[in-house]
Amino acid sequence: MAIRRRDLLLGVVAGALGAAGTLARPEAVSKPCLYAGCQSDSAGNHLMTLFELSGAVRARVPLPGRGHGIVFDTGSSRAVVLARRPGRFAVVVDLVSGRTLQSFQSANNRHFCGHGAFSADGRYFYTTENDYEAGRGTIAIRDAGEKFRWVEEFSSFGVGPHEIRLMPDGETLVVANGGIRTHPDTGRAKLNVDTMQPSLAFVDARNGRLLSEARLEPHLHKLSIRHLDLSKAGDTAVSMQYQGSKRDRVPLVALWQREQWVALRAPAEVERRMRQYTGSVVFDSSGQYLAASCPRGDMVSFWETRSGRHLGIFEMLDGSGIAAHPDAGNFILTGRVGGYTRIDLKTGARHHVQSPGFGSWDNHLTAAGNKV
Amino acid sequence: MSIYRPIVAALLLGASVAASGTSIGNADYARFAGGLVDVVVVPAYRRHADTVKQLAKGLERLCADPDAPRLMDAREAFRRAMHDWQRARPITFGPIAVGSGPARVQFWPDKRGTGARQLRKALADEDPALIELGALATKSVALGDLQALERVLFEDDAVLLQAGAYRCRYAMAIANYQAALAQSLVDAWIEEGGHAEMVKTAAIGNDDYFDEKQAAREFLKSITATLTIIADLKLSRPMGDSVEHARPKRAENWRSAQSMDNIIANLQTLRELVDAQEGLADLLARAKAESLAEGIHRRLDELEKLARSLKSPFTEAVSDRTERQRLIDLRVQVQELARFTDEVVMTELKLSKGFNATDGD
Repeated sequence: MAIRRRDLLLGVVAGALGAAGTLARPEAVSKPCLYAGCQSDSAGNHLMTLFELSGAVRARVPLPGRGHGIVFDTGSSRAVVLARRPGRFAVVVDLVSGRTLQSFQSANNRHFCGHGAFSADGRYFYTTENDYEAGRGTIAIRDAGEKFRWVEEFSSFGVGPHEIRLMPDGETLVVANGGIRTHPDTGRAKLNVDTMQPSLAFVDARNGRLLSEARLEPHLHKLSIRHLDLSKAGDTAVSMQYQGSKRDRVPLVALWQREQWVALRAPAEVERRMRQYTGSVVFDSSGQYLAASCPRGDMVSFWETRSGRHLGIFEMLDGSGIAAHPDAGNFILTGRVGGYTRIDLKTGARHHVQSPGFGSWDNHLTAAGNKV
Repeated sequence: MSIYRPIVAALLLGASVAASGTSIGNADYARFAGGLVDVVVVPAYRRHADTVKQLAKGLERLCADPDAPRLMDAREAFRRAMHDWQRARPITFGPIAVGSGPARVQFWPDKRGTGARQLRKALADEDPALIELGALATKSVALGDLQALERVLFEDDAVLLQAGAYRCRYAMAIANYQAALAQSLVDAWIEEGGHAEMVKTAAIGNDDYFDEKQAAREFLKSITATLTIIADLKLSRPMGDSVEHARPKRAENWRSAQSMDNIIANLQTLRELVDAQEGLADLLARAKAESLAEGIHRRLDELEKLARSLKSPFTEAVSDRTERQRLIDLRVQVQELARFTDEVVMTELKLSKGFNATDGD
């Protein structure tokens, strides 16, 4: 496919512009790296697709409904695919064989919120769940060593929890509490927009104790914190969705850094295009760059983390899935069409790798690293 | 700002929505959305508010001096109110979407029977505070909605006909609350700064809309959502997988025998959205896609014909092999029109929404 390159680009690394070039194709893959995302087709079939950087599809795993987040166990070749909310299924997949190992369900009167995390040793699996009758968020703990048997439940210390991750210390869970109350009886209707109180809760993974929490200023209480990513340094990046006036200009991406919020802003025309909505948020492998997808704006937006400088956008229909590439400054992006796009922020190079198409890519893309 | 240089990379990702030669512009979307508000939406909410007020008056008469003819009148008034609510129900955006949404008017389906449980308890407790003016507004939606009213009004005739019965006063309290709610929906559309104004000023951007395209999209989404609700909730759930598995009491408003009338009322409004001046058919004509408008008309005609072809009440039809086939045909046609609207019409009008742009994911 011909690649049009104009207005190149970011000028992040001095002199890089002149050296910009498209990546060698097919990509010379020095480190084996796998990526996984959920897909759906117009006939209503749902899958998880596992692919290599070459574009080769390693496995397609059928799902009982629309999937959302995929969680890799860093110590084994397992991954868990979670249902999109308010779904209740989880499917455990062996990445080597591409086979489904088992499925399990959310607890009674709970539904999954699409995200989960393994403990550092891979023994326990944590999921955000919605206790919809009580209108409170929970973290369910299952024993991955015993067929994901439900063990206990912590509070998420907020309403409408969404993404959850284990901090680099291996002991602290961080949960994005979106703040929005929903109930399966009323579908995806938002029941408490006027009183919502989103938060980022840091919870002790061993005992469920609230260690600290980050809240937004009162006038920003309609900013639903939904997705997050962690840098090796322990900074937390969040992407948010604003429930207030369409005219307000509010930050939609921010860093929680040394107990303080740092808003990552973009020029007015870019923020307007985001339409008060950001999807996935991902650090690159070095932690120097951050990408946030803007599916309503059909683009992905990039920042430099240290300076907070907005670097630019990349046009992509339904741009949604983002994963870090092993090389610093490189991201893998997925959108409406099959295949993926790799972008190198340092040089501006990018190219699209086609793979046999299967419908739209869903919200998230996850990197399995080089463990498989 | 000099350091900001957008990456304007047009990778050929847009092939699936390649220009199809349509010529509609923002002014067309604005005319479409603004026109439908005046011609379809506001009149529907006004009718609903009027008939619920009539219902409240009918219940007042019944409770003041209960007898069988007044009970019959009140039930007829309920049916008219439900019909007019079903005419407004296809509009899924604006004031109705606030808070608990349409469930405030009608909490249905009550899949786990929570509403029924709460209502039974309320009727047993006979708490006078619950039927005080304004009390229901702060309670669970299932205690003050039209489903609760139907249950109260279409069961236990003997109790309803007793002088001073709590049951009757409770029915009156629901109707009064619903009348106030219905009027507040009308006001929220027509008042200064109301939702009608929001739709009409969408082009310049306001609290509710980024632009006129978003306002136009709401109408298309309303159409597909209505068809999906008809197929999945109003037809499939009571029909079950087979005659043996039919569940007539899952039908919407089976107590007042309104199940099929509700569907017909929904379809009437969809037809209005298509046929109104500056409605969907006119918008498609401007987009030089008259054939799509014809496609919708043909499908709507077929739907209405099927819906009216039922010879027995809905609750019996689900368990009758011949009638059931009509319902199956109806469901297939409804699903087909939903798909046609969602995939073909919205794409043609460039109103498709991204797969990943649903709130909260």
